[in-house]
Amino acid sequence: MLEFCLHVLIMSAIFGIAAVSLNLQAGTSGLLNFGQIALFGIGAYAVAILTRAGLPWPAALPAGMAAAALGGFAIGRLGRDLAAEYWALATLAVAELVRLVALNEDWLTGGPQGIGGIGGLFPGLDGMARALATLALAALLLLGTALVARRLGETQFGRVLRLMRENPDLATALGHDIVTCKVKVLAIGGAMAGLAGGLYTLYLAFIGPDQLLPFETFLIWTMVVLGGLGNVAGAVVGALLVTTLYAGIPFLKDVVALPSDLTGSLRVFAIGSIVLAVLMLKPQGLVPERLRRHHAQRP
Amino acid sequence: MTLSVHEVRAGYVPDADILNSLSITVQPGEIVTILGPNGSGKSTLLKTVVGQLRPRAGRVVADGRDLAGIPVHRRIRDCGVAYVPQLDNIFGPLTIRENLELGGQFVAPAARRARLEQLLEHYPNLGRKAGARADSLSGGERQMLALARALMPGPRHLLLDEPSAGLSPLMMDELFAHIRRIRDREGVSVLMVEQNAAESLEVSDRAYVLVMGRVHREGTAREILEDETVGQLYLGAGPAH
Repeated sequence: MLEFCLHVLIMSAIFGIAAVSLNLQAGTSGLLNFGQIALFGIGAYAVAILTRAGLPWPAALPAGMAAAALGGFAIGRLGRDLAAEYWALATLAVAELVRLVALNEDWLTGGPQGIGGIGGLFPGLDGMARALATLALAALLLLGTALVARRLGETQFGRVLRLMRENPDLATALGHDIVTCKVKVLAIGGAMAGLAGGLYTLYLAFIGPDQLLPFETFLIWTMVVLGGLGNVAGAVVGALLVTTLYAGIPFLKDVVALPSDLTGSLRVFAIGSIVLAVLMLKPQGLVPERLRRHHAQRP
Repeated sequence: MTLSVHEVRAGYVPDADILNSLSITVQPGEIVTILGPNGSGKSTLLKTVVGQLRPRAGRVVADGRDLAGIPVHRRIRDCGVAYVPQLDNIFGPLTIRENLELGGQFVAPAARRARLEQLLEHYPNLGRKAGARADSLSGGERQMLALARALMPGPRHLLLDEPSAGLSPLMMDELFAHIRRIRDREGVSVLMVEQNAAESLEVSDRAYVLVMGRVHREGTAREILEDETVGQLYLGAGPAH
């Protein structure tokens, strides 16, 4: 049971980083990135390929972040002339493109089998010690990512991002180049998502194309929406909640007589229901953004 | 220091020009009002000058520099143009001070701080509430904040899209008097689109009346005010003044 709890906490921290990244893009900046898993995947595959090639993970992880940041930069530049809704659809297409490359380019990505046998984190440690060390590392990186995102939101650049989200025409009228702002945010968010992806690969010692399905983006979005769009703490809370539910619901079959093949559907149903409930009862999320909390007061 | 529009054709959809070979000029330190019925192209003209709409033909020139190909943010930062949109022209969740800082982000930090304090002195109502959220301000105070913010980088040309929209008559008079004070103090030229013809003409030097995207009438503010035809046809039910 303790091992399971540690696993849930580690996965929560990893997906917490991905959620903080998405929150920076969508919550703070209003960029509807439906292809977040692509940035996560680029980081994951980059780390897998580099560690398999013999690079130690402390060097591979920053390289994975750089690769994902480049991916974010490219998505921002490619879609610079698209309206927000079309850009959102384009990100979905980019995510599928990345997954299809991972699926088909066997020589680089291992194809459908993915890349396994990766020298994971802390190879010198065993069992519980390894899990604890991994948790400490993941928690530390989540904390660092959250602090960077929070600090960024408090800077003048962060205010411009919020203005870009609320009123892009006004942002432009004040002399702000919103295309450059978007590209910067996507590059920073990409680096964060790449960190999450790289950590995920190192923790599980495996990455495959099935882990880059659009459903994964839906899960990360769920974390951010549940927690509260625009609030860094909300993204972390959302990640913990969704990961715990996602991992815990299959154990219901031990308590209630449920066929095991039903539990997979049940967890998707449960998460969907919770999202609906939160959207209806507390649309600003469990930990609303300060600006949004006061939004209703605007005449 | 002149702002001019030469033979500009522009519109939002292909083959449908809102501005039809329109030309106007704003001399340094002048207040010029653009009047006309709804759909005559008044706001479209401002959007074309600021760069939100690309003209299909013609030129927009500021201080001798052709603005073709210069994006909006560069016109604001580098070409001395400031633009105050008609609606949603402040960022409500931020404080008054933060709104002003947003307008002067491209000014060097020391100059920005000095400018901010100077503007808060010029706008004592805003200065007293500098730490308050902008969405706690009244309609008139919001317009003052939008104007003050536009002045942060020290523009040479101020473009105002219906600054009196939604204001009470008392506030409107105060706002127009304030626009004249800005011109006198800052030396900026003002190009202003307005529906409240008589009140805006009182503070203007010259005016253009647009109809169907063309200049129907131009002259000094006094001439336009006294033109009964213009008053009856385009500025309201009766003579403008």
